[in-house]
Amino acid sequence: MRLPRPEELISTVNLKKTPPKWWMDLKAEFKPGFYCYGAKGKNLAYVDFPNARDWSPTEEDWKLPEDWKRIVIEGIRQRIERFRTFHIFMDICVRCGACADKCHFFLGTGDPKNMPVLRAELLRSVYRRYFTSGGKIFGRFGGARDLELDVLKELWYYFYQCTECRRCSLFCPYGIDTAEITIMGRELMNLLGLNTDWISGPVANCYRTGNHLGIEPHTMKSTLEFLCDDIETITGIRIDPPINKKGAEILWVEPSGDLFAVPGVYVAMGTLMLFHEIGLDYTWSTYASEGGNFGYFTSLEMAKRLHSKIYEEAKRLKVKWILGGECGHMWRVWHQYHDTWFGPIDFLEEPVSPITGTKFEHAKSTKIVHISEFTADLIRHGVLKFDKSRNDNFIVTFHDSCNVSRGMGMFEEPRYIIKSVCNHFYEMPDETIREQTFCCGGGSGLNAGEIMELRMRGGFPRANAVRYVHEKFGVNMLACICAIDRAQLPPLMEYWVPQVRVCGVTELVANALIMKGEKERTMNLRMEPLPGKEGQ
Amino acid sequence: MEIYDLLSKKRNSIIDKCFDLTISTYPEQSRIFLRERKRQFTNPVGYTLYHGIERIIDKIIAQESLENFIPPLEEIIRVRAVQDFIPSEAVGFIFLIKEAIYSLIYKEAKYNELMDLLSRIDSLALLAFDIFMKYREKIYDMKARELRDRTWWILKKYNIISEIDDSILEK
Amino acid sequence: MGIVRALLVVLGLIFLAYVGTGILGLESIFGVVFPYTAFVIFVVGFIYKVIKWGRSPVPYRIPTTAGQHYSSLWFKQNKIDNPSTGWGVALRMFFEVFTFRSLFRNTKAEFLKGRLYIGSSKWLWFGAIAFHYSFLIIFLRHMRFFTPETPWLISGIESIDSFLQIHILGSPLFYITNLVIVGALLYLLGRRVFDAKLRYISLPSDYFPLFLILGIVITGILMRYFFKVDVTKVKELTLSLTFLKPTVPEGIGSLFYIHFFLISVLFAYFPFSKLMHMAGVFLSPTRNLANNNRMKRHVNPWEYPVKHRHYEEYEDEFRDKMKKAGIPVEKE
Repeated sequence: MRLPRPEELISTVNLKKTPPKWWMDLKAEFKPGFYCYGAKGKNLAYVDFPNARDWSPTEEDWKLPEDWKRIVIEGIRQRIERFRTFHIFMDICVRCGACADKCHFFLGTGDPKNMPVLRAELLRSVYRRYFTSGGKIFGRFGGARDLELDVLKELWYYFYQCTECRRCSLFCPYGIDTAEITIMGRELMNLLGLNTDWISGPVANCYRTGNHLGIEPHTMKSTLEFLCDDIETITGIRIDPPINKKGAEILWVEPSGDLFAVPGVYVAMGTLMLFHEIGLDYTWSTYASEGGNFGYFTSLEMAKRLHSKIYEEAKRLKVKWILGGECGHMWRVWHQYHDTWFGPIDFLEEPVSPITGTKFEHAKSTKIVHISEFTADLIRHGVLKFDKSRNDNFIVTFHDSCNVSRGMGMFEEPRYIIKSVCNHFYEMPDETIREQTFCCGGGSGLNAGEIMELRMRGGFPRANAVRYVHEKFGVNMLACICAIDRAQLPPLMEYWVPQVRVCGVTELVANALIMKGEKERTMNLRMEPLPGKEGQ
Repeated sequence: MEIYDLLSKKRNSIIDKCFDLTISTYPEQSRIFLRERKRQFTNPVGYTLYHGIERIIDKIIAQESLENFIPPLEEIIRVRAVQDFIPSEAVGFIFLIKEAIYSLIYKEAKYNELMDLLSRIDSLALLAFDIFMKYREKIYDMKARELRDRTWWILKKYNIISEIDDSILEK
Repeated sequence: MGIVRALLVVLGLIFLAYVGTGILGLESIFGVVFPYTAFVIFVVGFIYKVIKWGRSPVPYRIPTTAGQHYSSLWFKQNKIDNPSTGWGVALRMFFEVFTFRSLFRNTKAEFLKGRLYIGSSKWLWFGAIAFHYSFLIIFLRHMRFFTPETPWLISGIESIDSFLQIHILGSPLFYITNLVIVGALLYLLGRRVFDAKLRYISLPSDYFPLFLILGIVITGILMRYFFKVDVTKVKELTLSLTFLKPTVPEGIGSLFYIHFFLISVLFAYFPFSKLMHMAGVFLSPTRNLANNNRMKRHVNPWEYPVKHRHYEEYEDEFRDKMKKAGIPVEKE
């Protein structure tokens, strides 16, 4: 017997050329590192999701209800009748391929089914088979296929490899939005109880305790106190954060990740310091203790159920308006869905900054303002005093969060803030920022530990741009305004550009902020020595 | 040695051939796209592969020492370690470099020199495997560390925060 | 996938028209019945499809924002890519429909080593523009066949289209669009054939319209420049169709009927195919809505109340812990 040569062994193409299979003939292969663990039954049951049971994607038997096909097909029917987006997106794609190389998962992997067009075709083929005359008559040649178990598994596999970042929709000549298709696809999966542990756990927690992490009220209070202890050590100022305070002017809601994970906690600390310094009459809420919304990664209905608490709490506490923290999908939901779900919001007042008197007319209907809008306005009016040199150890670049970028369009505010509080700021290349920003690779509930490989390759285009500015300008700090970024970007940087760390914008603000009555600061919020104070 | 002159004369065609062979380990549908090696930011994989290979070939020509090969090998292997490759495929592109060099110079090179060069390239494969393991371990390390860093997990252990459990569900 | 099949279908259609008119003498079927039927299918099907889309409501306002938003702050809004008013949306849609702005965005030309490097996607935009505009111009030019007096607009278009003033083989003036559309179609076809990733995603229904339109174009060019069909007779037929008094003159020739039949097929096929993107682009909610979500409420007609956990239930579960921690509660 002859041993094969190494290049014969590894080359899949040149030497053993087989006719490539069409995508409909390839089953999805479940490889570790590429799919999330299945949801636990108890978490699904707690929020009344159908078919609640423990399950695992790799097991042959997915423990589906007997009439699962009918459920999915009925689900598609209902959604095309309810969503013009979905209906049109199922019909008009011309497969021009403009989106193909815009997806960070395709860029990072080369898996053809990660091209947005093909990800959508996976579902479109089923739609054609059951809802169009062409698909019914011509079958495969009309681009249609039967809904089989393998097809279902493939749909699940690839809809949980999309972070709903909408970069493809920017380049589509018809505005076809894969995020919308993924949202519908995941809704269909949830009709069968096909959720992931990483998403369903936070959803159940959020329903019960008001936040994804399951922080109970007393724990939230002690966490805030811990943070205030650190602030006192750094600045000498003791802050007493208002919690569930009735009659406060503003309700403050932020992603709960900022209360428990590094580097999010520095953002929470920064916020406490900022609000204290300007003497803002505001309150935290233990009940509305989550601005983010993992429900959005399961179904729109669940998203609405989770966020109902925010306006309910605003009403109960009789605040005038709501201020929201740094978060990505949270702002997509707040900005594009809240008013439709919960409006008209007639029990709150049009937001006016109590410090500067600026009327936030663009938020006159929802009564919710973004912290970056609020802070930029403060800075513009000269309310805050800064010592920019305190951030001199940081050479900063800014990562635009997908949802704030392509679901809202806030690009200038965070940049204005960063430039006001830092001396060293450099942009990444144009085709990787602002509306063309690359996803961090962990959005839409895909920052589970078990899919680290997927996250690393999905985040590669982003990391690659960071590395460029690191090498060119010595950038060592990646600023962002999203809690998922703050969870996903640190490992991403560790793998691709270990010299770069991650922070929230408000952390930089608080570092530079000169507070009334503060002692001479020697360290930043991370308790690292300030530039020039290394010996102390 | 003459063989290195020969290599430097054929540098560009060797690099292109290595790149083409490496790209051929990706699915056919993505190959055309990956071959686009100039778009540094919108096609980071193609760009990284091309420039990694370019640097490796230049270092072979310049007869640099083994440790100098680590940075360009890391560039390439770090990408392949998180992609859809089994270990032998991920590091096997070294043999494609060997194959490319051999096929382009075997007619003109002296036998002894050629054999010597090829066995030196083999040592790169060993190095590549070490690097591959380093990055795989890094992935697992990051998985473990993330679990630890997500403080809530520890807090839960100390009963500071809680999870939905069966008793809550029954209510 | 399916390219051969799509080609065979188009060739089959050509053959059918040839046999039908050249051998069986069914000119009235191919010249009158099919065109009328196709036209009716087109109009009814088109309207039906648009109404069907229109009946699906737009529950949420989810524009894809591609520039700085409008806010009460001083930052300059990008009014075209992130419109906050109806006028802004109109402008965005105008650029989207007439200049394929999204496709163009794709196409950042880059300078590398002093040389302009154009990504493949730039060619896609160029090919798409070339195809659609030449198709539109050719379509408008053909209106002369359906109007007794050629309107000035159409004559104007014709003279611009033929400004090169070239005659091929002593034939009528050469139209630039004839060359452009063939080039564009071959490009659009070529990328599906030669780019592996496009070949992978292409369906027979992607190749079919390309071959069909190519067939129409080629037969048209053959008639105009090479075989010189009797234009007066053709116009007699087409005008009679316009005035609903169909008469079929003798001796037009099969080439014309093949051309006419392929057009009929295109019309009839249109409402059932991806070609409906022509109408869909106007309805796409990620493009045709203003990003004024926080200013103006968008109403979802089917919105329904959902079950959520009220504060009372929350406090009931955690009251003791809240009291112990000194957090204010509603019920002591």
